[in-house]
Amino acid sequence: MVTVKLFGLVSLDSGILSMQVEARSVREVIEKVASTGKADKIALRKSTIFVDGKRAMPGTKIRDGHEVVFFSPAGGG
Amino acid sequence: MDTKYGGYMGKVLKIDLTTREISHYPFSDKERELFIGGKIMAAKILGDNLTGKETPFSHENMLVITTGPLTGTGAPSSSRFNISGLSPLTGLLASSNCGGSFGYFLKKAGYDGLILQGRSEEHIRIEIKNDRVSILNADDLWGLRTSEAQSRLPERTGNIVIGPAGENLVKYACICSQERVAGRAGLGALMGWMNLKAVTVSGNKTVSVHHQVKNKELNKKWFSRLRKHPLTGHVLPRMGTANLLSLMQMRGLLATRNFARGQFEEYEKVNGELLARQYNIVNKGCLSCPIRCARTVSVDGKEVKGPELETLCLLGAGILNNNLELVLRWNYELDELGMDTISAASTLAYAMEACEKGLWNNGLKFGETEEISRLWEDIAHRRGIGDELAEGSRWLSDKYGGKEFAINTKGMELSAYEPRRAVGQGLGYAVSNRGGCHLNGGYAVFLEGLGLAINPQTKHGKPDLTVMLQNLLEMLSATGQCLFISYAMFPGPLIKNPNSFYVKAVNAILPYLGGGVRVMNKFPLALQLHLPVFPETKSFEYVTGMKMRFGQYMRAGERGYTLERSINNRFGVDADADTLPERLTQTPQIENDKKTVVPLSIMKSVYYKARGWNEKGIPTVKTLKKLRLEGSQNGNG
Repeated sequence: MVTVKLFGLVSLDSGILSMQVEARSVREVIEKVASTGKADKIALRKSTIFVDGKRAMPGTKIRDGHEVVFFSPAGGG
Repeated sequence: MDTKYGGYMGKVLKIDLTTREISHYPFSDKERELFIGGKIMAAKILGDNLTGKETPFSHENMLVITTGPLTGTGAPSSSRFNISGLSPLTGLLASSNCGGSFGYFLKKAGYDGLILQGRSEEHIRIEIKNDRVSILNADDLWGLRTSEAQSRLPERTGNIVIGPAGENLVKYACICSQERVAGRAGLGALMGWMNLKAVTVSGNKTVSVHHQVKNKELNKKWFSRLRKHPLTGHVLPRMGTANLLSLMQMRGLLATRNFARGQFEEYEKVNGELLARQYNIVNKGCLSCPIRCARTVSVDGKEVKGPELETLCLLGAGILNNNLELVLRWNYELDELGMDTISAASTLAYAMEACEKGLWNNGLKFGETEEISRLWEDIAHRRGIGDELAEGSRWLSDKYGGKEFAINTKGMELSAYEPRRAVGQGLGYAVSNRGGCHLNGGYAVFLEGLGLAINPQTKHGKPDLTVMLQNLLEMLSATGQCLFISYAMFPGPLIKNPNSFYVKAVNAILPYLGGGVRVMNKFPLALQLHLPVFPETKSFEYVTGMKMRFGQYMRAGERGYTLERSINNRFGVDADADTLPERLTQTPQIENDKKTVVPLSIMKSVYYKARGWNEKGIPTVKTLKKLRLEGSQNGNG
């Protein structure tokens, strides 16, 4: 299982803060989160993604225990 | 009219509070062409009057309130005004920018600026209605909190007020205008020293616009563009500035435990998502602003302004507080008392660490929050340890030691971006004219991981990018516009799809374009064009009737930034003052990763060259001549 966290508008729009999924790649995580019907697949794919704090891409491989985090665009200051 | 240009009212009102003499300060069209408005206009006025020997609390100091030419013309996000003077916190030139409607009302009264000088013997407030200026007794307002004081002022006016902190000369006291705040550098204390509680202004003048039809058409398209942009149209309206906190955490940029770390384990208890989900009642905005980034929250059953990003970070992670409701409460209390939330939070964080290290037995501990509301009161009224905390972190570290963790530059506390993981921002903090400010520093952190994602640790290109960004923001501010509209310069796809090849290429290449950026910084006037992504220049031309292509815009920003520097040079600022606390330049944020410090000295020397300053950080005669600032190094500018 991997822990998935959503931040920014992708989190507000989907209502998802955090969830657990079985997946071997970030792409698979995107499919599974989108399959809940709450989160938009394109928004997830276009997010800034981190796996255990390191920048990742949809093709990044993952394993059990990883934390996958999605950020929609951010700005302010 | 006293000016041939649109957008300007042509008059600057001056009030001497000692003699009660009211006059018009001369400011010519030639000066408008060079010094535009806002903070640059204020720097010109202060530069012509300060020699370098003055102190903040003296009859020679001035509080200079200025507007920009776009204020009141219908341009988006153009209702900001500027307050400048010698800072009680730093002793140097300071400018503090504020939203709301005061600037609009000042122009309605017929003025581009208001200069206040001297000191009244009694507590006063000033009422300006068109040409009529009344200086009134304010004993009934003295001691009141900022919202109570504002509620007793005449309605349908623009107003500025100070709270108890300003009255008691807290060095980081702010000036409030409705719910907006000119927060930084302690100019509220200068108002307090003047015995001036409030200024209200109103009038019935109209701001003229040179090309009315073209201006209207442009504004319509511009508003529409801002509403469609991913940042100005979606993220900021819905989440406010607080949306950045979680990404800062992920990038190691969230100043935690007095900048000892860049990440806070409990960030999800104090982040922007929680604020938006559970506490935000409605978003608000300044006059003529489509972005509407301000939050409204409930404290004790009252609807009050919610915290901005910096406040959220520094009153949360900065002092290891994991209770968002406390941040909302403290933010409200600090506004009511009239204190800058950034400097208040950072001074408190310093005091906690000084206590922990046995340097100052003040009883304050990281994570212990019970007494903090009382402490704000004590600071504002200068009671107990509050009397010393009211002086700021530099003063405290001079007395108790621990300079390496007194997180300030030139005496002003840094905002919430931990610069060891965004070294360009570190350079910006160090060289910033007003001290530890992310915006006056150029806000390179936006490129280093928050909007774009260029290598945050490399020094390549950062000095040149910093110069470019500083010049751009300087001018944007001078015109009266909010810096947030500059986000729309970045095409939507660059922001919306960070995983695309195009964005990855931009991120990889940008730091290595330093040479190209330097050429552009050196010869901006070669850019005699309007950029499609930057309507600001066309807007300026339509409003004023002056020629303002992108190159001239950047040159005007450079002139302003250099003029401010020149004034600070008179007060002893040189390369030695452009520094950061040792924690940020000597101690890696990540243990055993030597790259996670700010390589300041090497970036600084490239920065000075890029700016045409000598190795001591002083603009050369050639640079001053190029910018038409001859003589400004010694007060004859």
